[in-house]
Amino acid sequence: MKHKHLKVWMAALTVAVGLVAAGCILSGEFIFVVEGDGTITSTDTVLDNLHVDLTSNSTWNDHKDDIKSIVDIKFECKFTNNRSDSASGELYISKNLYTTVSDVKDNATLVFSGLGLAGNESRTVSFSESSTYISNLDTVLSLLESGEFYVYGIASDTPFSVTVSGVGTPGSDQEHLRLMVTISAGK
Amino acid sequence: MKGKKIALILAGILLVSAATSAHATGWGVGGFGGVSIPIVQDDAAQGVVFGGHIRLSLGGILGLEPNWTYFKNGDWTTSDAPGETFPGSKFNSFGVNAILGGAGPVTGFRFFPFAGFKFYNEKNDFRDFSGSHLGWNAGLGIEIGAGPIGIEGRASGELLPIDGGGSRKWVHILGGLNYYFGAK
Repeated sequence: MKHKHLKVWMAALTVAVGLVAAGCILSGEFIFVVEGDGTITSTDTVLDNLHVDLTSNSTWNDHKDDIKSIVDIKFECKFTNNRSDSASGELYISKNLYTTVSDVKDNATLVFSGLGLAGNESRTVSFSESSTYISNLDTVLSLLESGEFYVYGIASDTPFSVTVSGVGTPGSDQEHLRLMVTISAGK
Repeated sequence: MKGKKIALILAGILLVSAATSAHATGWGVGGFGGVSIPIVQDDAAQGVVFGGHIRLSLGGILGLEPNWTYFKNGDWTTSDAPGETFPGSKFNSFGVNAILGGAGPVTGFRFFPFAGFKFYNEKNDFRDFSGSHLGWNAGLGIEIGAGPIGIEGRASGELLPIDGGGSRKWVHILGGLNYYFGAK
């Protein structure tokens, strides 16, 4: 009887050790930071976008076929309200190129919202601070897997005029909006 | 074949343990501390770990070990964001380990393979995340004892599945002190 118990315990222990060992080798958490290729200046009648291309990022290329989940997404950007009335800044993401604000609101994924801006105010948002404004993480996975997507910066109010740029001075590493992505990936 | 090899190794460890120590029934309490080493986690750095456990002998080489562990991942950096430092997660975990090799007072030394489950409560200020998940741990320890006192060292692999797929892994390298009640 004692022998039987021992066998069961040994089997359970072996399985548990195997699980840990297999997990260690086969998956992990990886981070990459991508930067847009320009700034976004949109109004309620003229829509601008920022094209993000992941295909030149080595971390994304290493894991694009075995991403299991998006652990986290952060933005670092500067929103500027170009009008004298207040606005609430928003970022949408889509694989598709849209030409109107209503198309974006109807079809793209809202990933950043609620950034209050007084008239003619500029606010910078660090990676850490962006947690407050981020939503719909779970739907971003399919966008990342496509390797390329568009970011739209608008305001929830109408009329509006906003500019989304990086937090640094022109020519610096942080000149453009940056996106930090943490993925869990592995076989 | 691989399973047989692992079973043989474990059996060998238990034989050595049985031959070099005397097992007694009983129970004890202990505290431990050490380092927590993240495995393939870009968003975590080496941190500290400490906690406590109760060791309950079920007779012979079988034992149970209810435990509490706190560990903190160190702050991390990424070459993609030079000059910036981001805080790691903090974890509180509660669980139970099954122990082979004996969990009561020991005279001499013993090896004790162990495996168990834990509820890991994670808090991460950077990700603005707080949540609990069931995870697993397994490893190997050694304990040197005399009378009611045992000094132990252990390595524990920790596996925490995450939402949507994938998992986080750590190796905890620990040292600790146990006190057994009623030991002579």
